[in-house]
Amino acid sequence: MNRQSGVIRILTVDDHPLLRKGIATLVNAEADMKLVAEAANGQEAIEQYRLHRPDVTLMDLQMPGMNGAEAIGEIQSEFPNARIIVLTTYRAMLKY
Amino acid sequence: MFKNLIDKLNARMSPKAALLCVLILSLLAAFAQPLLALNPESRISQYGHTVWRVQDGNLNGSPTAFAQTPDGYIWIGTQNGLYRFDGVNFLLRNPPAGQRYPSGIANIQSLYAARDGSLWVGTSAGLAHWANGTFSSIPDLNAGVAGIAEDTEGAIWITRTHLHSFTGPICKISAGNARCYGEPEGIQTLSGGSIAVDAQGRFWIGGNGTLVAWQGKLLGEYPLPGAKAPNSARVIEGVAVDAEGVWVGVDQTGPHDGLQHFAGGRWSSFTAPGFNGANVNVRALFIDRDRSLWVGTSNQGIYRIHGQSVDHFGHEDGLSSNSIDRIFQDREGSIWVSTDEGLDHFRDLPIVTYSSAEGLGTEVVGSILARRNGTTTIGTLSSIDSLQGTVITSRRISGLRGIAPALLEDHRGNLWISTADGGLGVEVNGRLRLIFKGDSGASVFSLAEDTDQAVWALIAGPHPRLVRIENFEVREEFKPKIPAGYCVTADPQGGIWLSLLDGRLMRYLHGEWQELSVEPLKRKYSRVGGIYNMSFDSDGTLWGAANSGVVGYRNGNLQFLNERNGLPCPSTYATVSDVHHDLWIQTQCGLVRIENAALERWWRNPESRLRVTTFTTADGFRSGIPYSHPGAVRGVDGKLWFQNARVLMMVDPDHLAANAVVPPVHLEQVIADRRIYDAQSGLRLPPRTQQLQIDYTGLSYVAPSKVLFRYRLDGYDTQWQEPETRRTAFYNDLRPGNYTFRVIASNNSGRWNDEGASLQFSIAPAYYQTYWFRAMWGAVLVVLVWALYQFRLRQMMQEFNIALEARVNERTRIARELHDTLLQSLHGLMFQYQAARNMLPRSPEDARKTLDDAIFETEQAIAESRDAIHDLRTQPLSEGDLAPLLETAGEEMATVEGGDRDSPGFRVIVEGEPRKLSPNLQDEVYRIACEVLRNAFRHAEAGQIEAEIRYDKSQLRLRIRDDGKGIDPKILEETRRPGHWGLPGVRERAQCIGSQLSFWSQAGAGTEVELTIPASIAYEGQRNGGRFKALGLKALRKEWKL
Repeated sequence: MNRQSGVIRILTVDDHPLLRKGIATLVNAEADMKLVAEAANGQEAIEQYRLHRPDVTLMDLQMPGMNGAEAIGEIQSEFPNARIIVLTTYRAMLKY
Repeated sequence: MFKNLIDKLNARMSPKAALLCVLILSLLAAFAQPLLALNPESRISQYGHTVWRVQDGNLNGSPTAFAQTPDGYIWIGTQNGLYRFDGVNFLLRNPPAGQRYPSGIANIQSLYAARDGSLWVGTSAGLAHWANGTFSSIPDLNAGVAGIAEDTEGAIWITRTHLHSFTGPICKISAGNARCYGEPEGIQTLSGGSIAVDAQGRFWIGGNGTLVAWQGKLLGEYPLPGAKAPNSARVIEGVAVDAEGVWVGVDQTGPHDGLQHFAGGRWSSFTAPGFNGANVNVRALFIDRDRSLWVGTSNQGIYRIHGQSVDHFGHEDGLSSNSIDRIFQDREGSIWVSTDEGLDHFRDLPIVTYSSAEGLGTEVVGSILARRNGTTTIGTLSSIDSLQGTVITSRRISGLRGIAPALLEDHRGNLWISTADGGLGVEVNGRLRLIFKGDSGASVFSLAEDTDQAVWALIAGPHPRLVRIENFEVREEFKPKIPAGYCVTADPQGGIWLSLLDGRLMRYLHGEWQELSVEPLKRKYSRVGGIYNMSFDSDGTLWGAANSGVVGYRNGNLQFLNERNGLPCPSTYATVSDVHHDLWIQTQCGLVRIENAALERWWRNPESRLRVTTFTTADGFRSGIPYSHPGAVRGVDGKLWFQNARVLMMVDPDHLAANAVVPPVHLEQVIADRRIYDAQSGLRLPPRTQQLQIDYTGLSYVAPSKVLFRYRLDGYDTQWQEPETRRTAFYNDLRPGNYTFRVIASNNSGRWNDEGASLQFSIAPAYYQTYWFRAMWGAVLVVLVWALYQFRLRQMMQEFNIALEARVNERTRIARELHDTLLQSLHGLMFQYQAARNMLPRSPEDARKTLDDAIFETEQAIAESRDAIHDLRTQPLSEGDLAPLLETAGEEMATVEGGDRDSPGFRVIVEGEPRKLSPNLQDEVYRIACEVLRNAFRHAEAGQIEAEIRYDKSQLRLRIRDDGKGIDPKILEETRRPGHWGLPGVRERAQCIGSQLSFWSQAGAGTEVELTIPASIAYEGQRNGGRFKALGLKALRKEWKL
């Protein structure tokens, strides 16, 4: 657990690489934020969460394999204090 | 005294019984309809006589008894059983299985047809009874039953012989048991024989030397004359009763034996010219409906006594034997005689014959003449015979050398006689006067007296000629102007007619010869032939019997009547008209009568078909050619006379022996496929009955060969069959169903029983012919059709759903692609742009770099979007082959996707006969192929890419392979590698169309993707059928949970 105090460590979860890259660019441009890991689906998200314990997780919902909602459930059951921001483009997708 | 007795008896009869008696008698009369009889004026030898001999095998023993049941059958008892006779077949009727005659003895001695229709059978050991087909025997009689009779109240009485104990000879049968009367009732005779019933219902019973009068009790017992004790050995064998008294017959001769008569309490013998009743051994007596007494003897055949005239008929006349047992008269009036050798049947005939047996001088009939005094004169070879009434007198005429075919009675009543040597004489006042002497070989063929009282003689022989005689002298001779002729006849209008051997017809009138030309007839009917005989009807019509028909001439009309008009055969020999102007024609095959009305019709229309009556040999006709002229004559009493050179035949047109008894018709049995069934209505025959035979009979015994039948099978025949004599009907392969067989019959005189008999029967259907079976099949069919309809409905719904699903899927896919590509890309790019904007004030250099990246990635997103749009727009693909489509797509990709690399080689291989794919499917396959190809082109870094399409019968196979870097199997396992390969979409598509997708890949060894689709889904045309078949079974299985 390698913590830099004052820096918000972020995990992005999205199946779309371009979106992940956009977020990474945006996050890294902020001095107090740092992207620590990326994941393309729910399963990867859990693994990366365990590995990096990010402060904030940006989670897409609609993904192949394990989707965002399931991953949130898993992560929260394991780490009840996890802070996760759902980041999705489809309003309709919320239904999933 | 006899009268007194009858009066006394009448007085004893209660009024009620008398009324009943009258009732029954009138009922009997009504039931019996016309009871016919035999003409007592005929000699027995003149009756139609039929014999069935025991030795012919018809009967299994000597016949001993007769009865005719109300249904019309005649029953014949023999020493060995009971026979039912229908005129053609003798049917042995044994007791049913398990039953037998008393003591098992079938020696029948008496039969009685009761009014209730049942039949009583007396045997030498007891009594049996047939009622409605049920047999029973009466116990405890222990004796022969010789007589059976029914009293006025319908009770059955029997007489017993050969009694073993003195228990009485007379018994009453009631409720199947016998109550016998004997000594206690005052009866002296030990045994009882024949029973005769008189008009008052009294029984006259022949006993041992005594005659017993009985009516429920003993009325009197009268010993035979000359006997003191009643129980002598003189057994009374025959008893017959009429209004005058009782005839009794004893089977021994003697002054008080033979035939005896009992009347007024007195016995008398019977004698008649040539007959002494005391000299005959009597076995059987019978009084027929004309009150002729028939006497059957044990050694002299039969006698018939009618008034004082006694006729005899014995074995020498054709009777089966001289030893008689029974005499019986049936409903049609025929007389039946049983002898120890067989059965004899006598019937009246319409044609009565006279031959030497009846007293003619010789066995040759040369000529006939009807005299004005009512006698019939017959010229035989050597005598002139005269028949007056039934008496024939024969006389020889001195001075004549044989009699020739011509006789003539002139206007003074003198008899002209032609002689065998060609001479001609005339008897004047009993003296023969010769007109001319004969010359050798010649003969006077025909004689005629014209209206001028001149006699014409036609002479045949070496010098044929015609002469005219006046005042017993030849005045004129026509020679050789007139050639040889057949006959000459006088025209009542004057002059004569002459028929010539060459067929011409000549008329002589007022000294002139004229020819009546038959040429027009010959031209029209090809053949007329010589006219043998001519006759004039009293209406002036000339009839000529010709070789092939009859010529008629009236009022200047000459017409021809032959087979086309209904004559049964062509050759006619003689004609004569009766007083009703009906024409009688003697032909080769019978005597034909044509009624005047029919003749008039024929005169109006010579081609009309006429109803003719033909009297054949069964009616007494004897065939043969008459050589005399005239050939047929009519007596002053209206009787017609014919001859055939051997016998004389007489017909009385006003008293024709016609049978007016309607013949009962019965169905005897049904034989279906060799199994015999009783002909009972409601008969049910088994399924698939193929051969059906129905036996029926019509009960007329006068001439069974002339009984005609017509039948029809309702449910099969549409009309009645033509009349025929066959007594069997055959049907083959009748369909199952209900039928009614109807048959009607006519007797020998053409009297039809129009009601006939009918039999309702059914043929059961085989299981596959039943209604329920057919209904079941119908139901199955309906269910099947319904199931098919449902199946098709589901199939269509499924297809519709598939199409709908495909569209929904497609939309989902588009949405997903939009999301995956455009939206996500835009989102990502937006973040980058925002980052660049955020960086710009602090570090413009980083911002520029970020912007450059963003611009590059925007380009990439545009390219990706273009692909997606391209995919969507690549429609429609249903037209054309898959191979060229793939080729085009591959070439396009090679240029677009290759980028800076050397583009890989690409080719499409087709195996098998290309087939048209179903449009939707082709689309999907193409998309899958494109996706896989695009992957290969983009990522495989391959040198060669191949698409192989293989059209198999059972499936369509598509393989796409490359020799590129391959895919790590791990990635294949996961099926998803973020961002690349598009494989999941391919898989989804493949599943969606029901195909199989498999990958094979090895890192560095290329990739192969195989898509297989079953033929039923893949190919058009086959699709429906194939799918139908495959899914049909599946659907049915599902339907019936098989």
